[in-house]
Amino acid sequence: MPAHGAAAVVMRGITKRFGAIVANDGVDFDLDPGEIHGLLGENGSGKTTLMSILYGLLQPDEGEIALAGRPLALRGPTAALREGIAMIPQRFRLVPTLSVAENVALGLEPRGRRQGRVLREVRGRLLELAGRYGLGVDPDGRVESLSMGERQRVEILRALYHESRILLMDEPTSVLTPGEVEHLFAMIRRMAAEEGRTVVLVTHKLREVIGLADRMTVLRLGRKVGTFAAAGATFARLVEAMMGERASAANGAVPTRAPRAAPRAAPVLAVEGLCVRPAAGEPLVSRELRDVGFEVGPGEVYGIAGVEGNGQWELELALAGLIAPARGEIRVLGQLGIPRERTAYIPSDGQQWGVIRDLTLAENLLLADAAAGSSLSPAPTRRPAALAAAARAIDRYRIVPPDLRLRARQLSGGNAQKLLLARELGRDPVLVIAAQPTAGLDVASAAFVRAELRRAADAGAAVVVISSDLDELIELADRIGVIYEGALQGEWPAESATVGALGAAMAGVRVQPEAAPA
Amino acid sequence: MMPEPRATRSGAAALAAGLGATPRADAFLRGARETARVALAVGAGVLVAAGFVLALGYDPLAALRVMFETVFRSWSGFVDTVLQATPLLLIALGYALCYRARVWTVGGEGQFHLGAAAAGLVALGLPTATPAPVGLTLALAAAIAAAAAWALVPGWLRAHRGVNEVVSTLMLNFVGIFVMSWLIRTVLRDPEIPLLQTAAFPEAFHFPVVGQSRLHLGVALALALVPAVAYLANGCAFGARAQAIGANPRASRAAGVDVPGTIIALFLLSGALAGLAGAAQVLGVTHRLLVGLSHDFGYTAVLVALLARNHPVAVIPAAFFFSALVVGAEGVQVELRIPSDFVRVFMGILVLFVLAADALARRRAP
Repeated sequence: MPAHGAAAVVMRGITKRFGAIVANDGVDFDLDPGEIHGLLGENGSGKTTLMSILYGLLQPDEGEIALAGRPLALRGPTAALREGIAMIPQRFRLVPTLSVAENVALGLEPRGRRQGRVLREVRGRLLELAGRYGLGVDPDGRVESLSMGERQRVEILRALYHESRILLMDEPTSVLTPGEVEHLFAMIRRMAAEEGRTVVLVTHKLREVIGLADRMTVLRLGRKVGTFAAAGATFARLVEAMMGERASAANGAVPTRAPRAAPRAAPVLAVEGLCVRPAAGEPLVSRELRDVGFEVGPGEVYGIAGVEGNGQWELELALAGLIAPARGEIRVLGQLGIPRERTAYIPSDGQQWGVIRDLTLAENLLLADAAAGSSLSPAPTRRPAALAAAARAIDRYRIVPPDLRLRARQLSGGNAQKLLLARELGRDPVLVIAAQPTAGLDVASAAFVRAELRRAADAGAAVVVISSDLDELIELADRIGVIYEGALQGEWPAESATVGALGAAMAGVRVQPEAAPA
Repeated sequence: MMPEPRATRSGAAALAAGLGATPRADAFLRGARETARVALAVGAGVLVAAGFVLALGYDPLAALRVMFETVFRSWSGFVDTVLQATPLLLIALGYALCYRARVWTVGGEGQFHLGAAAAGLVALGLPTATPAPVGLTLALAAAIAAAAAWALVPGWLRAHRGVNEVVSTLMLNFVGIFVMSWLIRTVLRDPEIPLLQTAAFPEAFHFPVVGQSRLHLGVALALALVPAVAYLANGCAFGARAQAIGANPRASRAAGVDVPGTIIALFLLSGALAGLAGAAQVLGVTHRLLVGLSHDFGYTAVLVALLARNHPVAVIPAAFFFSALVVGAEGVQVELRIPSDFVRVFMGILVLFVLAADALARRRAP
C-alpha cells in the first residue's frame, strides 16, 4: 500500500510544446513509493510525452520534477536510470542478434573492465533475478528467438538489474497473450507491494488498470483531468474523464451487427493449400505456414485469431503479396496473386511497414497513387486534384493535426493508423488485409478503425482481420479461423464463437476438426 | 461509436485551397534554409583550409586570389573550368537521383570509362567516311548502353540480393578502368602511336564546338539534361517512389511500390549519365582514348551531389565549384608553389563541414 506523505516523484506544472502543439500543459503528477499508478488518456493526450520527460528523454519547457524531495534535472535516459527511473517501452529496445545477457550488458562496458567479466556478472545477476521472479528467461538465449512477452521480461530484467525503484511501462499488455498478462500483473503487484517499487502503467485499456492500479491519473488534450483513487474509479467515470463530452456518444459504441444471411457468392479471396517456409533468400519469414486454406466472400469479414507468433506474420505477408508461397495458391476474384492496386493492406507493424515517418502526410496518403500507374506521370503531390482528395481524406478520417505538410512522425499512434487506413481504404479495395488493426489504439480510435473496416466490407470488399484481440474478432468478423503453429485449427461462425472455444483452439487444442476447411 | 464521418466539402476545399498556395512557399523556405546552411558550411571550410595554408607558411589570401583569377580572369581558364565541370555535372546528376533513394552508388568512375571505351570503339571501328550525325549518335548510344549495362550488375545485385552497392560499384570501378586500358593496349592499339593512348578519332567523331572555343556539344547536352533529371527526381511518380524508398524501403514495398524495379531503374539512369559523361569527354575534349582519362570525376561527383543536397539544379553550381577548385589549384601551384594536391585536403574539409551542418540541423528539427 502506498505510504502517503513521502512522495517518490512530484512533477509540478509540466509544460512541453512541439512547435504549435502543446503536448503537456501545466500537468501535475505525483507518484508514491510502492504504488501502482495508471496513467490514462487517449492517443495524443500527452501520456507518452509526460513519461518521456520523467525518464529524461525530453526536457520540459516549464515545470519542475522532484525525486524523493530532491529537485531533479535529467539530461537523458542514462541519467534517469542512475536515479532509479526505468522505462519499459512499447517497442522494445533490444538487439535481436545478441543474447539476453549481452543486451542487458549493453552500455555497461565503458568501465575499463573486460567485456567478458561484465558479461559473466550480468549473467549471474540475471539468473538470480529471473529465479526470484519466476521469469524463465535464459540469459544466453538470443533475443530474436524470444516471443514478445519474453522480450518484455528482458526489458523488465534490465530495469531490475539497474535496481530501478520507479518503472514506467508503456502499454505493457499490448503484445501479450492473456496468460502472459496475468503473469505480468502478478509480477507488478509483487514489485509494488513487497519491494516498494513504484510502477506506472501508461495505457488506455481501462479494464486492465481498474483491478490493478492504486490510483489513476487521466490526461486529455495535454491537460490533467484528475487523479482517481482505485475506490472511486468506475469504468464510466474514467471514460468520461478520458473522452470528455464525447463519452456519451462512445458509450453507445457497441455496434449491433445485423446477422448476415450467407448466400455465399463466389469468393473474392480463395486461399488453398498455402505453405510458406523459411528460406535463405527470404529474411522476412521465420515460421512455417502449413496448408492454410479459407475463402472470403464479398461483404464478408474473416477473422484470424491466434496467439502472436503462430504464423500470423507470414500469413499477413503472403496475403499482402509481399512473399511468394512455397506451395499452394492465393486467388483474388479468380486470378492468381494479389492485385496490389485493389488491395488495402494494414500491416501489424505500422512503425516499420506502415506510414513513412519522414514523409509528409500528403506524400504518405498519395503514395498508393505514386506506386500505381505510369512512372513519368506527374507526382500526385504536384496535382491539385490529388492534393484536394488527400485533404478530404484527412477530414473524413479526422486526422489531427489536419495539416498535409506535417511529417508523419509528428502524428500520434492513433492518427498514424488512421492515416494508413485513409490511404489503403482509399484504393477502393476488393480485398482488405488488416493485421492487428487496433493494437495500441485508444477506445475511440479503435472503434473508428473497426467501423471503417466494417464499412469496407459493406461496400463489397472481402476483409481479412488478423488479430490477437478475441473480443474484437467476435465483434467484427462473420467467421473466425484460429491459427496455431502455422496451421488453421478450425473455423467458427462469429455467432457461435465463444472466447472459451477460440481460446482452447489458440492454445492448440483441436476442437471440432470437422469444421476445419477442407 | 464515432458519429458517421462526413467530409464537410467546404472544409476540405478550404484546406486544399490553402495548401495549394503554401507548399511552394514551404519548399522555397526549406530550399533557402538549406542553401544558407551549405553556404555557411562552405564558408567555415574555407576558413579552416585558410588556417592550414597559413600554418604551412603560405598566404591564404593570395591563394584565393590566384584561384579566382585562374578561373575567371582568362577565357581559357573559364572554359577549362566548364569542361571539367561537365563530366562532374553528368555523373553527379545520376548520383543525386540515386542518393535520394538512399542508393549509395559510387560507380560513376567505372561507368565513365566504359562509356568512353564504347564511344572509342565506335569512333575507331566505323569507316572514317561515316556522316557525323550518324557516327556521333551511334557512339553516344553505344556509350550509354555499355555504361547502363555495367550499372545493371550492381543494380540487380542490390535490388534482388541485397548486395551492398558501395562495395560492388567501387570494385567494378577498377574493372571498368582496366577494361578501357586493356582496349587501348590491345584491340585499339595503333603501332604508330606511343602506348597509353589510341590514335585520334576521325573528324566525324568530334563533337561540334561553339565557334572557335573548345565548348562542345556535350556541355549543352549536360545542361539540357538537368531539367529532365529534375523532373525525374521531383516532378513525377518515379521520383515520389524513389523518395519513399529512401525514407523507408519496407513501408514503400508494403504500400505497393515496386522497390527492386525502382532501384534497378535508378542504377540504369545513373549508369547512362556517367556513360554519357565518358563519351562526351572523348568525343568533345580528348578526341582519343587515353589512360588517365578521368581526373577522378566519378569520385569528385560524389562530393558534388553531396554539396548540391541531391538537388539536380543545384548540381550545376556545385559541379562548377569543384571544377573551379581543381583548375584554380593548378594555377596556385604554378604561381605560389602550393602543391595542388592541397585541394583534395580542402575537399575533405568541406565534406566534413557539410555533414556536420546536416547533423546539427537534424538535431534541431522537431
